[in-house]
Parts: sequence; C-alpha cells; structure tokens
Amino acid sequence: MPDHGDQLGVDINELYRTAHFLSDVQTDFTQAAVAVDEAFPPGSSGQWTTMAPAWDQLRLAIADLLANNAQTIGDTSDTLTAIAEQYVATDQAAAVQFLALAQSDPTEQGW
Amino acid sequence: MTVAFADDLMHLSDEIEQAAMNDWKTRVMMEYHDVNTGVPQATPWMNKDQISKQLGIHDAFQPWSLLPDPDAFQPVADKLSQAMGLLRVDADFSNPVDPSDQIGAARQEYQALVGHDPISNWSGATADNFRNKFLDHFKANTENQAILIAVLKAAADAQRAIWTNARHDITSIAQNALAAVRSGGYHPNPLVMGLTVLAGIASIAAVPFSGGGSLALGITAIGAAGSIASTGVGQDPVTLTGHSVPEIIKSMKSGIVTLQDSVTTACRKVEVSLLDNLVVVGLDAQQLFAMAKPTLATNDPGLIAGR
Repeated sequence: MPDHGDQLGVDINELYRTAHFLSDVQTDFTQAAVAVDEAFPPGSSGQWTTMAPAWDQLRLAIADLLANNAQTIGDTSDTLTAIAEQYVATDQAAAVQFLALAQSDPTEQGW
Repeated sequence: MTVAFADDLMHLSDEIEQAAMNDWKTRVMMEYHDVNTGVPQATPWMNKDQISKQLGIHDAFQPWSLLPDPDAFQPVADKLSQAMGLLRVDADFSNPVDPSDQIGAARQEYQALVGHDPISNWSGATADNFRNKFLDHFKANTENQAILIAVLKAAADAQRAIWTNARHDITSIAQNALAAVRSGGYHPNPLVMGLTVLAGIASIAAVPFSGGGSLALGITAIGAAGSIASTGVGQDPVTLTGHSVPEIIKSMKSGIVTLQDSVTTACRKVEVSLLDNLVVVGLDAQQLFAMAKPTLATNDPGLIAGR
C-alpha cells in the first residue's frame, strides 16, 4: 500500500531534497564545462604550436561531456521536482508535512 | 616576460655576431697582407649585412625568440583546477593524477547523493531504474570526468615545463657560445651542456577509471616531471667545442639543432598523449563518463511512495 499523509510528506521531501541537490550539481557541472572551455592555450606562435589542435580537440570533448551531463542532471532534477509537486497536490496532510520539512535544515534530516 | 626573453636572447645573438664579425675581419686582414713586407692589401669588401647573413647567427636564434610564454599557461592550469574542484564528489578530494595536489573536501551536494540511497522511501520499477541507471553510476561518472580534466591539466603543466626549459637551454647555449667566441674561439676542452627540455616532462603511470569492471580501462598522460610519480625521459647533452671562432659557431649551431630536436620530441610526446586520450573519450568508454538519463516521468506508475 503506497504511503499517504505524514509519511507521504516525508517521501515527497526525499524527492524534493534529491532534486535540490541535483540542481546544485547541475550548476557545478555547468561551471566546470565553462572553465574547461575557457582553458584554451596561449596565442599562436607558428612552429611552436603543433600541440594546439590536439589540445583543443580533447578540451572541447571534455567540455561537451560536462555540458551534456549538466543537461541530464538538470532534466532529472526538474522531473523529480515536478513529481514532488504533483504528489503535494494530491494529499493535504502530506503537503503540510512536506512544507514543514522543506523549510527546515536539511542537515538535521540527515542530508 | 615574453618580450624581455626575446629581447635578451636577440641581444645575446647580436653580441655573438659582433664578436664573430670582429674575429672574421681580423682573420681576413691577416690573410690579405704581403707575406714579405707585411703591408695590408685590398681585402674582399663585404658589408655588415652580408657578413651577418654569411654567419647566420641571427637566423639561428630568431625563431627561438618566439617561444611561447610559460607563464601564459598558468591561467590555463588554474581554470582546470577550478573545474576539478567543482567535481569534488569524494571526501578529501585530490588531483587524480597528482595526489599531492589536494583540492578539498567533498562538496555537500555530492555528499547528499552518494554513499546512501537518497530516495530510500520510494519503490517500483522506475525508482529502481533511477537507482541502477543513474544514482549507482553517478559517483564513478563524476570521478572519471575529473580524471579527464586532471590529464588535461597535466598536459598544460608539461607544456609550461617545455617552454620554460627551452628558454633556459637556448639562453645557456647562447651565453656559453658568447663566452667562447669572446675568448678567441679557443676551447680545447669540450663544454658539455645538459639540456632540460625532455627531462622536464614525464609520463604518468596509468590512472584507472572508476567502474571499469574487468576492462581495466585507464588513461595515461604527460605531465611536468618532479611534481608527480612519473618516469622521466633521458636526453643527450649538447657539446660546445672548437679551436676557432668558426668552429665554435658551427658547434653552437649543431647544439641548437639538437635542442630543436628535443623540443620537437617533447611536443610530439604531449601531442600523442592528448590524441590517445581523445580516442579513449570517444570509444565505448563513453559509458564511464556520460550519465544515463533515468526514465523518470510525472504520473509514473513505476514510482511508488513507500517500501
């Protein structure tokens, strides 16, 4: 039997917190992608820049991986949030419990 | 810094050239005199530019004045360190290819998602899919991407070392050649100069990826020697020798060619390392980096509140 009432509120809080931390991770990955993308080698110096194309290829491949993962993480976070909101709309008692937990310190809840 | 190095090197080049020109003029004048009377005779006329062209000293050093500025690689390394720091998924995170480079404690958002089940109250096929396809691989995927960034940073450090040492070595050749030329070119004992370009870079022991299972997948890299556990690359020294100024100049040019070879070899090592790593990123190893999108959806019957 699926949870309802206060326990459902606790369950919803799990989804909400997970979504919240995933959102923070998305920011981390996005910023990491930008940092890698901006790590291009110094300007051209003719015969001394034979490594530059290989460097650029690897740099861009890594930046793409990070950006794609940021997207995946962000989409996952958004979906979890939407699911949590949907459950909140279905159960008044769960909504009250969830709201109380959402406004409290996550570290006190073991996060 | 780059302008100062270029100016200093070409100034040394000018000094060598001037000393060599003086020696050349002296020898020509001694050659063109009457052996009986000692009276100087007409010497073949050459202007300064012609002499300079013939000596080829300026042309030998000029390309080296364009060496990249090593300090320009510091912002590159800083950006990559910043990126690694944003992926601190593990407690007391350190640079995967240089463990002495301590980056910091795990970030809270990662700590909240790894090491335990963040949706432990949920059951159903979708919840299980979320755990199996996404959460269970999240830490490994993140760690593996940090490894890639660390490898790129190591390559940046290697490039910085190459240009730092190349500048040192070409300057050393110029300074020693100038001293030899000013002493009249008499250098009975060979002056052996150790080159540092290849010794300044090193291959890094293979770094295994997380979650590679039985594939034992890993990645290798080139980094700066001395800061990481690595295997250095040996290199033959340059020998400056001769009994005359022309012989010294010839020996100097030979030394510059040797240095050029070592720079080319060092750059090629870094380039090959980067390309090899690019292959790893593009292969089936993609599964070690790319996070699978969980099949979550609103109104999903496979996501059940409660266990």
